[in-house]
Formats: sequence, structure tokens, C-alpha cells
Amino acid sequence: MELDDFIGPAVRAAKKEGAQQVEVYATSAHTWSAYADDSKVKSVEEKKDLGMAIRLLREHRFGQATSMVTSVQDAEACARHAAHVATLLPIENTFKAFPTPDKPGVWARCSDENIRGTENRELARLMTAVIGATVEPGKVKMPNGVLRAGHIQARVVNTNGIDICRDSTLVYMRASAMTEGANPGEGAETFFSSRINELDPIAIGKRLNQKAKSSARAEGYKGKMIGAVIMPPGDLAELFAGSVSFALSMENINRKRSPWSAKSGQPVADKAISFIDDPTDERGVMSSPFDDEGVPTKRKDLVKDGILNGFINDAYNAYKSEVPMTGNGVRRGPRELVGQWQIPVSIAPLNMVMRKGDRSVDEIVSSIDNGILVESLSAPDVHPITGAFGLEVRCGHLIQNGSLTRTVKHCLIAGNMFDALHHVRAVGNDVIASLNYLLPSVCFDDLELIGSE
Amino acid sequence: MIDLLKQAVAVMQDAGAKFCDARYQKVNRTTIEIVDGGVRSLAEDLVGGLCLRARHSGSWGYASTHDLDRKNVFLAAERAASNAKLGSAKGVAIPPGKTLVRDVKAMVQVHPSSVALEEKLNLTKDLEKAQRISPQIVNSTAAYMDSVRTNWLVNSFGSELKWEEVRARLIGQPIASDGTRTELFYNIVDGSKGFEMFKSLDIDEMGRYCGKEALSMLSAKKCPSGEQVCISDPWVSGLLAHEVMGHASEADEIIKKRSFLTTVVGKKVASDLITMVDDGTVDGPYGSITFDDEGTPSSRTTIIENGVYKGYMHSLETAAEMGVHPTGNGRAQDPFRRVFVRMTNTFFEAGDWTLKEMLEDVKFGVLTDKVISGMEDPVGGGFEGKALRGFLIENGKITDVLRSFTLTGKALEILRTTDAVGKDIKFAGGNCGKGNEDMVPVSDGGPYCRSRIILGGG
Repeated sequence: MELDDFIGPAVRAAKKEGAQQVEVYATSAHTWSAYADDSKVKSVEEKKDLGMAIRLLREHRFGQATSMVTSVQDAEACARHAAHVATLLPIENTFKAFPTPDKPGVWARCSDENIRGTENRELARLMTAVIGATVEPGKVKMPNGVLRAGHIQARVVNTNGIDICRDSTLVYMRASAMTEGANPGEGAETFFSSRINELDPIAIGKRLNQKAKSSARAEGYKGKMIGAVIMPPGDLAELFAGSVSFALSMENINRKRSPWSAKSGQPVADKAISFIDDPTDERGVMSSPFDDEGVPTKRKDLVKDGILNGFINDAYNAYKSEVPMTGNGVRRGPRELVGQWQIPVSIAPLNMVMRKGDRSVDEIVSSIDNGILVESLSAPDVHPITGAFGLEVRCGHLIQNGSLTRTVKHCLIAGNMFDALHHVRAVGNDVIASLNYLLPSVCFDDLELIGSE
Repeated sequence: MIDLLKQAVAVMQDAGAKFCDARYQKVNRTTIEIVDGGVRSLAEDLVGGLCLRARHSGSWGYASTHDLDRKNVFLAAERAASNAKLGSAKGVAIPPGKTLVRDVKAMVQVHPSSVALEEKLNLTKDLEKAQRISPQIVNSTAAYMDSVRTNWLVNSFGSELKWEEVRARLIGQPIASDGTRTELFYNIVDGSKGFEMFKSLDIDEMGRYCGKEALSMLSAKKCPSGEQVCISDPWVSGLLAHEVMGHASEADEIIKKRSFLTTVVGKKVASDLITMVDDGTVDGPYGSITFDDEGTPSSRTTIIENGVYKGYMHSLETAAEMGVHPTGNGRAQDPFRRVFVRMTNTFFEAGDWTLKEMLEDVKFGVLTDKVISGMEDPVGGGFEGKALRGFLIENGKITDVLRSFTLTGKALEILRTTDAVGKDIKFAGGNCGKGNEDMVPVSDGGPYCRSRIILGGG
């Protein structure tokens, strides 16, 4: 069964139930994964997925439902569910119409023909190569890893004339390496791309090996200090997803949850900080000319030289705030293509680019009298409402007088992200792709490092 | 369905699989979200699919699809068997298991499918409305979810199983703001039960409680940083049980020596007051299951007993590797995800202290309240948990509300300092991701526990 086989019948079924406007978002995904376990390729999987989400307006009432699709009857039943849901709801005063067609944004080529022809054998070979570059018998092993590649066809159709089809590919890898023997250390690497040829298994394996060894040298930190903290890009992407992206979301403005609600045109960060949502950049794994409501996307300066320039929205929140749609209503994620039809529309940047600085991490380290270079955090998350954080350091390198001294763990970095953004000492030039972010390391001043007594 | 799965198993066996299983899952789910008096979303979803799994040597091959066309199912079965041969892991054979033939319905009083959508909608609306007790409640949200998961499983042991899992959850989450500070609070009622969980609730009281506590957070102070006497509430206690001791007791981590608990069976690892179990058979919590996703009946596994470490949780594979019985912990997020060792309901058993008695002995310390998040560290044994809030304890009395903070430290050092364990256990449900994927429904919990823990927050 193909998308074309059931989208039309679903729309017709919804109309038959009295819907005046209908939107169908349907995806067909095919992915392959190779899992490493204890330095071997342990599991190899292949997944094929087909499903749809339907939203409709029936007598000004909004209904929605989702369903896996194995037959046209599934799609029609999904439409009837949505129509039934609409009968239970009051008249919708905000969402009065689905988006109408508009010119596409710049088409970022996020599709790799090499992945369409990929076989599990190739993924197993690549994973074996990563393992080979990571493992040193008796010294370093790879306990876990996943390498996933796949392609998706996503189609958005609505009765206002939108009919968009997006073909894209995704390569995602996450793996860990650990030292063997007493007091082991563990390090992890992630990789996000649309193109499989960008994955360098040898380089990833070598970095994993080094991270494991570095982590094994870490000692529990004792005491407290206030100092500079250099955060690595991978962990920063997660920290910013829970703070910057949250604060920029029009949903959170409308819910009065965003700390940046009344700060448009005002400084929200140091002037070294600029965030651009750039769906035209091919390095972003979610870059595309349309969002998942069929709204054209565009490059947006959200924070420029520390000044808040704008917010991102989906159709609902654009209507609610009476502002133009920004094309940030998404149903996709950066790790997995299967099951995207199950994801409700939410607001997210498609490819958040943080403007890089001109200094290397080594140069930033040499400028610091007292601080820590973080290699990995346990759980990089921020309280989204307040911005407060207490981050456990899994592996970090203390900095004294411009040089790295001891490697430490089991300590907390405490602070507030919305305050910390005003106290940026430096932005690095080491940009990587992580989640839906492209960003470098950032050094924050005056954060608290707390260890045991 | 069972016949189709049996034929798929036969195809995998013909293709050389020594052990294989075929699993179909269908989930009917209702989700409702009410925000500031309006219906933000109301949806009915049907998700699921077919997973075919074959083992060759020590490797697994999977093929997952929605397509139940017989020809395509058999093709997928062949792909699962051939995928298994691409792996390089060696391992012992899964020994023959019991042949089970069962058809088990969920033990619920009010099945979600018997409740009109209007009633669920009204319940959620009432909870949202009840939170708005002051103009300083600037945003109020209530969310409802129920799911009915029906599983069919056939394996090469000859088992033919069908079972149902029901879960439901109700959440109230207000945001309070005084113009300069903004804080949130939440309360959740959840479990592997039906709509009866909400019939006995005083929804108005639940909503007002959420609103009142959100307002109290506006005057919350910063948590004292450093190592403190800390009374963890049942949810933070459960977080420690789950994230550190639980994940490190999953036998797949033991086999590959990725756990700091790899060589500690029979050794004293915690205070005498600490007993910890994983038990998927408990009636009611969110992580309870009848069978795991390999068809093994759920069971109770004692992990720590009176401070002495006892043993691990197992899937079919890890049990075979270690020569023990499987414990019913082979679980998968859905038919599109692999099966590996996962927890169910993981908790510390009760002691004999009241909270009042625990507080009386504390000159200066912190009492935690509710969890935001946590992260496992099976290698290092480090604890990292984020509390929604806390209370400052001075001279045996609670003197201030504390805003969100993080707890950390070596788990075994924390458990060795535990000098008081409370009388009552509570559970909190959630979805556990091992690494950052593969979410399965679990719960964790325990009683109030008093220990020394490093605290810090912004």
C-alpha cells in the first residue's frame, strides 16, 4: 500500500461525515538499524511503517485522530474517529482554517540516494568498522551502539489546496565506549546527518576510545568553586532545546510559560550569541522547504547579537497570536523516521544554527584562570520555566591558569540558563550537528561547581 | 492472528532460526489536553504493528511492519531470519521454555473502552478549571491519557499468548507567576488500572492542591548546596531505585560488565534498612505487566535484601547466558523496537519510620518533593536526579520551600548512609528510556528515606 492509496479515501470519508475542511499527514518510512552490544553486532533490524494523522473542522469544531494504515478501511475509520471527536468539542474560535498554499522555501537537499539502496549488510559493516576503531582488547570495549539509516516519504494534503510531499533520509548513530578493569570510564558519541557518506566510522571509533580513557581518569570532585564552564556542543543542544527553543515557542508565549514573553527587541543574551532557524541549511537533519502543516519555511534570525528578534509558531499559535505563520509546526524528530505520523504537531526549530565564534576550545581554555571544560554531562536538561539547572558532570577537566589540570566527575554545575546566556565568555568555532541544532562549544562565566565535602 | 503468527514462526524456523517469536500489538489510545479553559487536543489513536524476531548464534534479526498481508508477513519473517545472520555476537542457545497457552484480560473495574469520551473530556476539563484559584495562576493544564494494549505472541516454544494491558493517567499542571518569577507544580494519578482510578478522586481538591502549591513555589528559595542530610520523598527514593540500582541490575549490563554491581551478589551494598525489588506483578502501578514482550510471565525479583545484594533482572537471553530462570523483564517499546532487559515496578520496601520521626532528628537538611527527571549511570554508579522542589528542614521543622534542585553522589555511598526508612510506599509511573530511546511504561517508588546526598541548583 502507498500513501496515494489511502489519503484520498480518508479525505472523502471525512467529508462524508460532514467535515468542511480536512488535513491528512501521512508517512511511509523504511529504516534499517544495526545495534552493537559488548563489541559485537548484536541485533539487525528492518522496519516498514505506514500511518496517518487526520485533522478536520466539522461545523467549526476541531477533531483529530491517528492510525497505522494496513488498508483503506483503516484510513477511513481514522477519519470517522476524527469526525466523532469533533462532535464532542465546542466551536473552535482559534483554529478556523488549515493553511493555504504558498511558495516553498529553499529546498535543502536532505535526501541521500545512497541510503535508499542501503542494505542491512552495509549498516552491519559500518558498525563493525566503528567497533574496530574503538576497541583495544583488554583496555577499551564498546558496550552499546546503534546505527540507523532510513528514508521517509511524508505527505501533507489539505482541502485548502496544500499537497506537499517530502522525501528525506536520516542517519543517526549513538555509541558508547568504556575502559575495562577496575573503575571503568565511559564516553559516548552521537552522529546526525542526512547523508551516509558523511559518517566516518574510524574517526568516531577513535573519539570513542579517547573519551572512554579520559573518563576513566576522572576522580570525584571535592569542594565548591565559582568559575568558567565550557559546555560541549552535543550537551548544549539538549540544554538549548529545553530552554532556548522552549522560550522561543509561541505556544509557550501564549501559555505564559516562556521567560522571553515580553522581551521582544530586548537583550536576552550576550551579544556574542545569535540563533538562526535555518531550514535551508543542508547540514540540518530536519531542514526542509515546508513544515508538517504544509507551511513554507524560511531562514529566521531569532536572536541576533543577543537581541530577541522573533518567535516560532505553528498554525494554531499563529492564529492565536494573530501573526504570520513561521513554518515551525513539526511532527518529526532527529533520531527516528518510523512512527512520525503518531507525533502531534508541536513547535520546534527545524535547524537551529548558533553563530560560531572565532576561537578554538584550546584558545578559550588558555584564557580561563579558574573553571572546567566539560566533556560529558549525565542528563543535560534545564527547568524550562525557570531556566534553573544542576548538571551532573560525568567527565570534565578542571582549568587553572589557562591549563587543564585534573579530570573530575561526580559533581554538579549549578546555574540558570537564561542568566548564563548573558554571561558568555566565548563562543567556539567547533560546530557540529546535534539533534536539530548546529552549534559550537560555549563558555559561560560564573557558574557554581559543587562536589562532595 | 495467532494462526498467522504461528505460520510466521514456522517460516523463521525453516530459515534456520533456533529460537524465534512473532508478536503483534494493537494499542487504542485516547489523549486529551485542556489548556486555560480550552480544548487544546482531543485525539483517538490506533497504533501497533507486527514484530518478527529470530536468533542465530548470539545475534538477533528483526523485521517489523504494519502490513498483515500473508505474503508480506512471510517475507518479513525471512528477512528477520536473514538479518540475524548478519550479527557477529556469539552466545548460548535459548533453552526450551514452557509452552504457555493463555488469553488474559486486564484486571480492571471500569475498562476505558466502556467510558464515553465525553466523560473523559469532562473529567479533564474539571481538573483544569479547579487549578485556577488565583489570578497568579497564569496557565493551567490538565491532561488525560488511557491506552488499551492488546498483545498476541507466538514463539518457537509453542506458546500462544494473548493478553491485554490497560493504563491510564491524569495530570494537573498549573503555572504561577507574580510578574517577576514563574514556577510550575504538578500532580499525577496513574496506574495499570481503568477509569475507576478517577471515579474515587476528588478532582476539585486535586486541582486546587496543584494551584495552591504552584503559588507557594513563587516564594521558594534556592536549595543549600553541597552534601546535606536529605529526606527523599517516595518519588525521589524511587528515582534512586530505578535509575542507579535498577538499571545497573539489568542482567544485560552485568553480562557485558557495564554495571558497577557486576560482582556484588551476596555482598553488603547498603544499610540494613534497604530492601529493593522489581515486581511487575504488583496490582495497580503503571509498570505492571502480565507477560513481558517475550511471553515470560511477570515476576518479583529481589535485588537488595536488608542491605545485601541478591540478583538481577533477566530476559530469555540473559537468563540463558547466566544459567538462571528468566524473570519477565524482556520488554520492548512497541513492535518497532528491540526487546532487551527492562524494569517494571522498581522500589524500596517499607521500613518503620514516620515522616514526623525522620524530621525530628534533623538539625539542618532538605526534604524533597516530586521528580522532574533522572538519568542512569550503570557504569559509575552515580545518582543524578532532579527534584521539582523541596523543603528546608531546621531543628526538626520545615521552615522554607525550596525551588527545583539536583541530587547527586555515588549511589552506594548514599544507601550506606540511609538511617531511616518510612512506613508507606508510593509509586509514580512514567516511561523509561534505556539510553535515550526505547521507552517502556514503568513505575518506581518507595517510602521516605533519610540519607546524605549532594544537592545543588540554580
